[in-house]
Amino acid sequence: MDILNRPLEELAKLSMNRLMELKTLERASKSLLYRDKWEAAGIQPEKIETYDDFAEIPFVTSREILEIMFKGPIEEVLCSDVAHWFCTTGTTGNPKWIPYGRKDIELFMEIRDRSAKLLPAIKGLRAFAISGPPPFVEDGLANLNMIRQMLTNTQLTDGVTVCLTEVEHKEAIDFALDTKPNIIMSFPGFAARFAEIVEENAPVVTKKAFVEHKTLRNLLEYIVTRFKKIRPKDLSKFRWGLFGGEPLDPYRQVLAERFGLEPYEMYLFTEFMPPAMECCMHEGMHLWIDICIPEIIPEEELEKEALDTSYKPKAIPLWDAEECLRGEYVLTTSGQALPLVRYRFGDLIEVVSTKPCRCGVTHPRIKVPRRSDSTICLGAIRFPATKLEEILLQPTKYGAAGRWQLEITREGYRPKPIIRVEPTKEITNKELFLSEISNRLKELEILETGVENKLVAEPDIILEERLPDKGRRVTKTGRIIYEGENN
Amino acid sequence: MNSINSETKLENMSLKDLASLEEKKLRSTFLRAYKSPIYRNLWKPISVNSDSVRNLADLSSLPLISRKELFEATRTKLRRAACSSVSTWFAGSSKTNNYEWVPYNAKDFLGIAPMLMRMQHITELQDRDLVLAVVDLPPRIYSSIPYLWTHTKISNDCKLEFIIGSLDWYDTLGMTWIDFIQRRQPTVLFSSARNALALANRINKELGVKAEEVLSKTRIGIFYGNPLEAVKTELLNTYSLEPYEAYSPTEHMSYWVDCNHHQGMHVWMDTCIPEIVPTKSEEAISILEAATGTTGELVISNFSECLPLFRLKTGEKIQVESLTYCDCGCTHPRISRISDRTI
Repeated sequence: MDILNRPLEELAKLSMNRLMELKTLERASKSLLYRDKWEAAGIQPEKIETYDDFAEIPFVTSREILEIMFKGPIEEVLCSDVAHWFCTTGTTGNPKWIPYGRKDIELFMEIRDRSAKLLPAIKGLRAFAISGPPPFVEDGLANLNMIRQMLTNTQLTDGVTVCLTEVEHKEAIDFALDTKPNIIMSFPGFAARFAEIVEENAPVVTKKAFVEHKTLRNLLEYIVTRFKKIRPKDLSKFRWGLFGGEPLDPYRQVLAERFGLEPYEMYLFTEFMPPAMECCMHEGMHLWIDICIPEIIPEEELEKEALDTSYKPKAIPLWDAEECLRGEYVLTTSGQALPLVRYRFGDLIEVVSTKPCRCGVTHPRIKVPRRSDSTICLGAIRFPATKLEEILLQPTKYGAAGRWQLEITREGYRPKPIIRVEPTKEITNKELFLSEISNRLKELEILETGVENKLVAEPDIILEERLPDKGRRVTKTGRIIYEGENN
Repeated sequence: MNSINSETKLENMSLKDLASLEEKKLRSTFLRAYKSPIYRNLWKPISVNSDSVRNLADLSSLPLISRKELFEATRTKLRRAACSSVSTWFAGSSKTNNYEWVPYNAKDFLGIAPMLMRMQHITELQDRDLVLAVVDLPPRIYSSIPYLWTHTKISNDCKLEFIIGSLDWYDTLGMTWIDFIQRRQPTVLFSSARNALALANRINKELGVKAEEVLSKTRIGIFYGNPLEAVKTELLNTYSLEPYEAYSPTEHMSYWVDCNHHQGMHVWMDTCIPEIVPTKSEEAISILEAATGTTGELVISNFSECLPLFRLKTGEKIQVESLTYCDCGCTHPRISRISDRTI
């Protein structure tokens, strides 16, 4: 039976077997990332046989990986030779560096082929991709994907990849559109912005074409753009799009309308490239559980941990999770260069279903609504809550804020931050107080970049005498309310 | 894919055998190009027919083509410009700041891998060398190269480790990767000369030291893009490494490179037919017929699938350094670059 359709129990077994066969725990136990911690917890890799044994292994966090790469000798962190290093943005602190061995790249290629089976056929279609710059993993994804397609003779036609830094570069964008792409691959936020750029530029482009070549056709095209908004779907016959890097749902409708395409979502991260992928049923992303051990720390456990930092939250293997369960994603991989063992991602996932999908695939489906940690996510724009707090609580000449609340709403497809602050005592001049905070907010470079590039709507700052205890606490004095969440 | 052994064999092949290899490839490439509108239109006025090019001597019957003619065609008539179906388009840069779009298919792109292996051999990179590749971003081809280089299905012998970085948007997303470079200590710098200088400036600005203090274990630099000679002193003032020059424009990615004798870059004759238009002349002659010391504009014909070059005037001013065997054992002629493209 195809690996896509095997019963869940069998896939769960495969997952645990893979851990043993590849001696993941033995290899990991030699890494500086785990060695001391596991010794202290009395973990003996060779004695771990069942999931219950495995569940005794302490979690490892993103911060630990970040720190270890700058602490001891890197050779003592690594479990094999490295082919490539990728890093996270660093917008949540410092960039986090992740090594990939050759076998890790091969696994990505294999799973990439498997994931492609969930998408409509690509042979002969023309693609336009907006990738991230290196050393981001998106750069590797775009290039390795292209190489794999070439090696397996499944390549697209007339593919054009531009870096997201060039989305405003007219020459690159014009050329990409001239190839008449049928597929787009991108962050959803960048694709939505790209559609706007097309709309904004259409009258200028058609006018220029008419001035240069005074043909009836060019005149008609120019007249049309004066009365009708030109959208990407008017310029090329897009069929489907593959979107990742941030949740697709807030953008799904706008992308479908402006490109006239069927959007598919994928979920991957720097630490583990093989993507979870949506199928044509669009009822969550299939997570390939035969190649990793996915677990979930339920929200109730996270709350207990938030109240008592010494509390050790319990995780549930994904194959045992109930539908609609929400919690933090924990993953174990058998990485060659650096296995991740019980790694807490900081992403909140929701179990859509562990039952076979209507498409026939048996691998469980998840959604990824937001981060579960204190990182503020405004689409592709991310920064730690502490950075925002530093700005908001810094005293001004007119008084100081003591508590804050960030509500993330939407203005169209764009995330719109509404920041409410509660004063410690009376504010002498409310207008100037808010204006000073607003100016300081511009010093938060990543947020300002998002606003300037129209990926994030201009934040609103509101002074409130008393803030209700609404939202998820992310710092001592700050809370976040994500769109659609009434917490 | 070629192995290191077969690459070594090609590196040491006699000029006579290389010429015969060129001739074999020329005929089939010509027939493919002859069907392409780009060349058909260009060749029509001089009555070129499918029998016009049967051997190397016949090549001179074809007209020279300028970059402008070639890349205007790929930009404005993209569907008709290519001589086979296109997998992907990469952009090279022109002096006018516009992109020069070059089509690639799988054979063209994967065919770069053996040239990387050859470069790896010639520059004496070692297993587990850690390469810092400072690249220009897509749609440029250079950010794709390290992935091709390390792909196991393509380069079985390659055991290099890569950190790829770009200086674009370096600060914006917190991608301050120099910290990690300082920690990981690359042994090889693979970059355009321009990016290498920009990196040195960045290191100086951020850390207040010369690049050699951060890249203290970097023993080899492979520099492409601008001619090395013009910036060599500046580079060696800030980096402490052995510089190698590579020539590999987007339209002909074959990584001509100098060996450790540093007496000019080896022109890989199995990948192209190089000619030179000597200074004060308008006629191109084969590099093999040019006297040592001849200077002039480089003209390339190659055997690409998607966009074969037929007598492309590259705009590069070169000097023929030697046509004889090199002390490194390699037989391919050597040239040096005098100045960058003027167009």
